[in-house]
Amino acid sequence: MTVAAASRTSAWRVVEYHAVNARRYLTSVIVLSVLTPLVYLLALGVGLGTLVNRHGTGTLGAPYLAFVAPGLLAAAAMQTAATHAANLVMGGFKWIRVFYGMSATPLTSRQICDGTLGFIALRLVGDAALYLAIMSSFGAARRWEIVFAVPAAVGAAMAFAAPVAAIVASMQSERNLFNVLFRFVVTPMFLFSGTFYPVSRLPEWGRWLAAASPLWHGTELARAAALGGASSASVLGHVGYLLAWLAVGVPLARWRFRVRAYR
Amino acid sequence: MVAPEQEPAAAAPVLIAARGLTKRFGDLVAVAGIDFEVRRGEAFGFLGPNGAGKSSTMRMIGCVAPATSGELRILGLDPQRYGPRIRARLGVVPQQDTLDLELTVRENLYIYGRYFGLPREGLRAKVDELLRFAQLSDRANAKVEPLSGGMKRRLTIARSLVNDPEILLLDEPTTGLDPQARHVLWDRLYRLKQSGVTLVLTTHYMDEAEQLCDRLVVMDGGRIVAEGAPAALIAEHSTREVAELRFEPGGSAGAVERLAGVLSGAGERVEVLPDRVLLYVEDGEGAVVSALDAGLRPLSTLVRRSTLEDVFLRLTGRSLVD
Amino acid sequence: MSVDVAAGGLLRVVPSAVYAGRSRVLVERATHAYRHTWLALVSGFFEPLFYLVALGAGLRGLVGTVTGPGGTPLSYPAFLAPALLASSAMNGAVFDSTVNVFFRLKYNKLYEAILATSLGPLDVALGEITWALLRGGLYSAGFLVVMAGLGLTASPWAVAILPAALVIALGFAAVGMAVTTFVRGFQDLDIVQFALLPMFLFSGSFYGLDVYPRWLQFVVECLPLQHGIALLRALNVGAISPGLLGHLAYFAVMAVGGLALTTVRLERLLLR
Repeated sequence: MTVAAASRTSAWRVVEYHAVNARRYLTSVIVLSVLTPLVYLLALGVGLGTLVNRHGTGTLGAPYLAFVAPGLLAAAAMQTAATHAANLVMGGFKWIRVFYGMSATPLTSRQICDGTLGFIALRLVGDAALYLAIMSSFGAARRWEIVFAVPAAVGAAMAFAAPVAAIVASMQSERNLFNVLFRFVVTPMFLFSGTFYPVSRLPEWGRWLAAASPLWHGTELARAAALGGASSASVLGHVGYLLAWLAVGVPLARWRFRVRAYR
Repeated sequence: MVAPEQEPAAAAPVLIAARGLTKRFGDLVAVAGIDFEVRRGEAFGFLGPNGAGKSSTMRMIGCVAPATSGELRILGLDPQRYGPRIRARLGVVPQQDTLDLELTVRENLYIYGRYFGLPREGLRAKVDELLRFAQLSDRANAKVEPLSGGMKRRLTIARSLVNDPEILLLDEPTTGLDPQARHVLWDRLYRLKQSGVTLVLTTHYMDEAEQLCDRLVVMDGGRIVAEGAPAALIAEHSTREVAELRFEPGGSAGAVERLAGVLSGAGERVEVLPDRVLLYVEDGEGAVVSALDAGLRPLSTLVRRSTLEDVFLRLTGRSLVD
Repeated sequence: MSVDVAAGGLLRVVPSAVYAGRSRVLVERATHAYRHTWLALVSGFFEPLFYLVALGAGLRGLVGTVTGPGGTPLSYPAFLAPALLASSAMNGAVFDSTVNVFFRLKYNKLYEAILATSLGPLDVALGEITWALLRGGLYSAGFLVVMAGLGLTASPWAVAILPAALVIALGFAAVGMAVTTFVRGFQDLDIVQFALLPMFLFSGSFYGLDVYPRWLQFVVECLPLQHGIALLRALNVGAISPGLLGHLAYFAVMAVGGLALTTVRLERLLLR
């Protein structure tokens, strides 16, 4: 039956909606997806790298550019994921209210949630692949296993994006929320998750902060993929931690979407 | 008559005078040389379809848009030179609410008063008075965004009164409101008029114009096509009664020929729409009888008095303008 | 309300249709508006602090001692701190004068409502910029206290960082408002925000310009933020030279040009 067929595949309809919507800004999306990594890699990898390499990179195990690049890849994915989760969910429920339009069709709130998160994940894969290509052009890709940095970065970013979507779906007003979210959660996470230096350089409270942050686990995995030398136990530990976040975050988001859509 | 360019004496009757007032946006002529006068204490209306030039005229009177040519005096002053001085004595209710979404209801009134340079002390009492006027005292500390359309409109009107304006400009004050909200607003505006405030408003609700306006002009395509009191306009441009005959869709074909003998008096006419025939006549009942005699078989008939709406449609046409 | 005072003389040269001399009312409005979103206000103070703590602490050991202005050897956090303050002054001023102003211009219709009263467009421009400066000044003062507390200030001249940060913010806020009057939608604002990122990263926040080849040094020396960073870094170590006046002049030009353009544009947008 056509109705059943439609409902089986329709989280993809939501992905399609977001994709069509994003196509209007395709040029600027692509330009930003290329320029952002370029700018970060040049300024930090090459510029700051000059200072670090001059001082000695013994503790890093690689030149600074090769060390910082996978970290920047994971951090960029997390920031894009957080921005999109916040804007798409607040936009869908409040600014343009398109999620209410969708929930008047056979689409379920769960499909709207899954489709929205799915779109963000696809977008992140594209961005991360592009990042990887630009990294290689800088000579920052030292072995083929670096491709595993893509799932590591996207996984960590989505582990964070799912609860963000859940929280944003629960809130009526964005002004204070977005400030708190980005200034007190996203920015500190970006800074304290070992992107720029090993977290062992932080005091103990900073190391605990990093250990709680999904981004640090993603960064460690991406760096392990890029540079090698990680034990399988630590890889499993990081993967397990991120899966735990997803296992809690995704159902949480689905639940908050259901409450918001049918209230 | 255009008043001389100086502060008018308190008793000067003409508050707004326009002669050959024109507004162009590039090649588009929004207002094509209009003349009108508004006197103190009057309620003056601009009627017209969308795009007739009403809002452009209102913006020129509000001193937020310069005239392209022609002469305009507000309170005896030239808006080009004395914009802020005139605006200090005007109240403006724009077509779309421009309430401050970052502030509460009370703060909206208070800060707006501060824009006029009103001192803080007197302002607090004034704000309380306006909250009562707008029936919003119990929502004083609420945010503006979740208010209903009627509440927002009342707040906008209250806000426009914060500086005790001599002239209140209202651009489509009740568009989009439910009947209750409209009647509450009309009541508030009527009270203002009683207290001596000069009202200048645009509307495309004919009942609103008939309720509120002492005098009005009908605009179309940037020009004034008629001017006068509502009753006088009806007398001049329509008949006493209208008989409406309703048919199946398309069933009114050939009605004009059959009705040729029904019309007798001066100004009487027939308008044929796909599913209706309108007879503009002095005696509606008589016209219906004559139509039945002429062999017309309508599904239903209705006889009513002519309204401003008939005048409006007569002068500005039935085709959709937007 | 330093801007109001400075603009007092404007009353004589600018017609009253443009300026009623009451821009402080806009500041009064902002203090009311931010009572409802005080978290937004507070959060702005923490952002540069997070950067200072995270990058200062983490990179200190990786980078070692850095050469500051006038050849002063500096710890990495002491090298970084004035640059973060300059960047935060830029970010705050630009955000206030672009995103916030655009919202009020196009969505809230705030300025349309204001210009229906007896205020003029220059009141609006000056008022918003004054507010941006007050807010930025509070953040800068707070950051400076933290710097001193962490022992990152290297000379008594460091107190001059506060007024200098205000000058930087004034220049960026004026230009930001002028840019906003040309903005069509939020997509354009993303471009503005993005333009700040390379400026922040390349203007020598994290390292001296000597890592660049000669031609690139010349390009970066044209960027406004580079002047802000160089100014604050020099004040921090007390490396006072006539060259600092050049940095100040750069921001004075931005302020005057931005303000003039904003006023003309607001008039054209709102009073037509």
